[in-house]
Amino acid sequence: MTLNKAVILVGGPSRATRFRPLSMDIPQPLFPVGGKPIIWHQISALSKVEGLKEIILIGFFEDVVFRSFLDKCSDEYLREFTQLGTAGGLYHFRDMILRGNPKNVFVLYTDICSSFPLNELLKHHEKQGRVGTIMVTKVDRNLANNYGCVVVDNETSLALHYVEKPETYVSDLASTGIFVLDKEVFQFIEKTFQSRSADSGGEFFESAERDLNQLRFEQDVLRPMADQKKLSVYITKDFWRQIKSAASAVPANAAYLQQEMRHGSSRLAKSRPDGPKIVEPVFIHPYAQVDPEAKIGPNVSIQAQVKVGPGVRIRDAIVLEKSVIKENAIVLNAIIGRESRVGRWSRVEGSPYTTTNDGHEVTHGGVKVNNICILGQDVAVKDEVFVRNTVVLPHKDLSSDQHNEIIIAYATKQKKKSKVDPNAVTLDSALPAYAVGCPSHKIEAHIQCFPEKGQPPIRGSCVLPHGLQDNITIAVFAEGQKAQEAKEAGAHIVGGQDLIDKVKNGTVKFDKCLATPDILPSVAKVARILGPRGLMPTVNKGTVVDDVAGAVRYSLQSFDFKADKNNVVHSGFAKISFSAEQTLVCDYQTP
Amino acid sequence: MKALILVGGFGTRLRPLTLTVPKPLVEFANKPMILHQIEALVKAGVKDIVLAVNYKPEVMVAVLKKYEEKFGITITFSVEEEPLGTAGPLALARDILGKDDTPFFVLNADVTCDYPFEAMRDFHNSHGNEGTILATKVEEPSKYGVIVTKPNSTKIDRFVEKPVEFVGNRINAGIYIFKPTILNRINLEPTSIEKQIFPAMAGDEQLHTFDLEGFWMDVGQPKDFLTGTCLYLSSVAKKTPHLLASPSEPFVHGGNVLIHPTAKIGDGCRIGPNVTIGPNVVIGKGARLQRCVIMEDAQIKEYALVKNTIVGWHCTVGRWTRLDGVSVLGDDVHVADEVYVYGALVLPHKSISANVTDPKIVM
Repeated sequence: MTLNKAVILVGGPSRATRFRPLSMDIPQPLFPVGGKPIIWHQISALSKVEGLKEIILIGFFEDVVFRSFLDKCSDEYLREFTQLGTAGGLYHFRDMILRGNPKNVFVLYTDICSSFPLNELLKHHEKQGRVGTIMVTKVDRNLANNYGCVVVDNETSLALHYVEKPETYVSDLASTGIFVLDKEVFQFIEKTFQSRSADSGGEFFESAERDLNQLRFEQDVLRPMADQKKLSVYITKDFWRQIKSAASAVPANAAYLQQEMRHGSSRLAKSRPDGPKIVEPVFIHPYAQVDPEAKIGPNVSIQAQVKVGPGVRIRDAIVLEKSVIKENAIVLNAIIGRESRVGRWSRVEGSPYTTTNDGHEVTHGGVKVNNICILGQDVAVKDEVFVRNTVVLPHKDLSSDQHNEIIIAYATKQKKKSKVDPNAVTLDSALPAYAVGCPSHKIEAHIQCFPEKGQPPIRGSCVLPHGLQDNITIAVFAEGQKAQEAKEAGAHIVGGQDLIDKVKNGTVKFDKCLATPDILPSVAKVARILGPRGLMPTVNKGTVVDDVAGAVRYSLQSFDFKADKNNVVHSGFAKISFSAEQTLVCDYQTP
Repeated sequence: MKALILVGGFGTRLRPLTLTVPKPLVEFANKPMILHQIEALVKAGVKDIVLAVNYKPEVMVAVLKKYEEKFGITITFSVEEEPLGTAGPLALARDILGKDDTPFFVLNADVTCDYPFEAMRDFHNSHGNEGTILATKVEEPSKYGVIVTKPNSTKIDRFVEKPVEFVGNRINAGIYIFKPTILNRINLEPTSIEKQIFPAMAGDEQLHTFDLEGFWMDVGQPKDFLTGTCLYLSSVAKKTPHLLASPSEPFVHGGNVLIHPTAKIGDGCRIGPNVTIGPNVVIGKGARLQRCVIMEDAQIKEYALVKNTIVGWHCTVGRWTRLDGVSVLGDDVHVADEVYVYGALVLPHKSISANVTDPKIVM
């Protein structure tokens, strides 16, 4: 039996911008449609292909993104460290792909939804015997310019011409992003690669380097392949659509659910006397709670740990993990993000999806509006509020009606109550559990902050009951009584003129430096030495103080923190060997 | 005593409700608007009521016949051949209004308030001049004709129409009491009582003002009809709370809820504040009603949300449907399940099965 392999081009976080705000917390390939991640549908279809033993995912997501998903499958994930372009990635990992000498390689984009008739495609490909076969589908003539278009010779199934997103009409057969290629294709790519290197060798071309590495599959492989009469075409009449914008996840969800309904899948929900009223097809995760008095469907996916109250109506929607839809609320043509809450008698409604657009926008009174209503992660819609044709970015409370808006603001003015997970383990019970083997291991907190626009950056210092920095050296410039106090408070080096001399000679080293106001003029003499090292005491930094003893204690226990560019504060706050009392964090001080 | 109620025309501003029922018979808080006024007049000792109308529908004659018997009064229709303005109808009804020396009330049919007819009568008799205007205080006097009185007196000095500068915030509430001698000032021709008769009376120092306590609203159009309902219900809550649904009912939310005894309320509803529900209305379980008027025989199905809306007689509102934005459903309108209707004026006997997202008239 022949060995076949498959490659799924998953792209990366920077590719899925049109999938925002959903891609802000779920990588697009893992976004669930029809109750399963987008990529699952592809993997599932590939697994039914004869002789297909290995699926390789190529993209530039962090490895960890796919780890938990892939643990359940036996795929490999190859990360492009630079963006290599679609064909570049394939070529870069050619050795991996060709290992075991597969005969054919399927190549699939991840942002598509289809019935994936891959066995038929393969049969057609082998019958035609050309280097590659592209699967195409008929699209609306007026929308053809959004796709890669293929001109076909109907008798021989030969692709005569391939053009990516033509401005004028070329063909209404669009590339589906599904291909099967003979292993020979790598020689073909290599040739293209080399000829391009040679072409640009003589001329000055500023971005030549980048351009060469970023081999694009369509323009740089398919088009020449068509030109050289090496590309076959397989036309599918089954369902197919792109999942590019976030809104298009809703019709994709519907398409997969309907397919499952046609196949009589047992995974779908059924109306039962003691269960909610179901208008098929509907997927309800086994770990979701749906009240028997709710009415769900058609075309609805409800993910794990979702709670749907009595009197709720959901139609044409995706409800993601841990969302709560309260009594008598109604959700139509919408995506409800993770951990979002829709209040009693609230209404979240988008306009029905039409086939004449890619699910992105419809016009309303001459103004473009979003057609699918999307709530990002952790959005709260208060009781009785109506949210229509609106996209809400994560972590927002809506307490008034919204129509045709994109709501970006992150945090609300009112203080958020901190939520305590009832299942959380308390520190004192958790610490000993982790302590096995590495008592000095640091426990770190990574706090995602959501500052309002225009707020100063998050930074400040924090005092811990127990210092973490046991190996820092604190020097204090002080004399007399103050020097004595500083020493008692735990300063490592204390001195007056003598210490200034030592600094001058470079015979002393320390990590932090304090001074009393009266000695500061003398210390100024060594400012040229201390300044560049960031050690010169200043009033502004709070390192010139009368109460040196207090400052020393503070310095020993405190550390400075600053949010990174994503507004995440990373900091250690305890060691595993600490007791719970030692880790209780006091107050944060921010400027 | 006698009274004249200025009913006027077809009530076009309150369409589509007035396409089915003459304006005075449209229920305000489950009682025809005109009955509120007749009851208050009867209480003040009025025996003769004249309705100044420019058309005389059979249905109104029949209803008022009933009131005549019930209250032992006479109700006369005074039909204008041509529009006579606000003063002309007084001249047209001269025979009744001038038949004796007792004063008579004049009131606009659109006005709702705590009609203070007895106090007004006593005040009027005490000053002995020709007329008294009921005055109400408003927040924005610049939209109205403002009454300016003489210093330290109830005597009206002059009227300032839509004042630019603040001269006072008392405006004409559309309710008056006059001596029959006023009829000598009015000819049988189109005349405005506010613009022509009152300034002359003020000039003769014959016109006083009497302050209205409590709420006042001209309920001639849907938006004000709803506001007037809220004000009226608040007043009822203060004076006669037993007429309202008890706040201890599990479905009552925020009070001011008037429910006809024959109406049925489903489980798990949340109703209020400021809702009136008419006879034989059926509210399905889990429905949410707020600041709305549900007329007789209407049906609100399960989980629907109705807000800022007048639901006319015999209407049905579907499951999970949402009505908002001063929508008015005329008689026998049917709104499908799961639909959103905002600011629609829906003519009688229509069915709505698609969203109405912006205010419009559904023919």
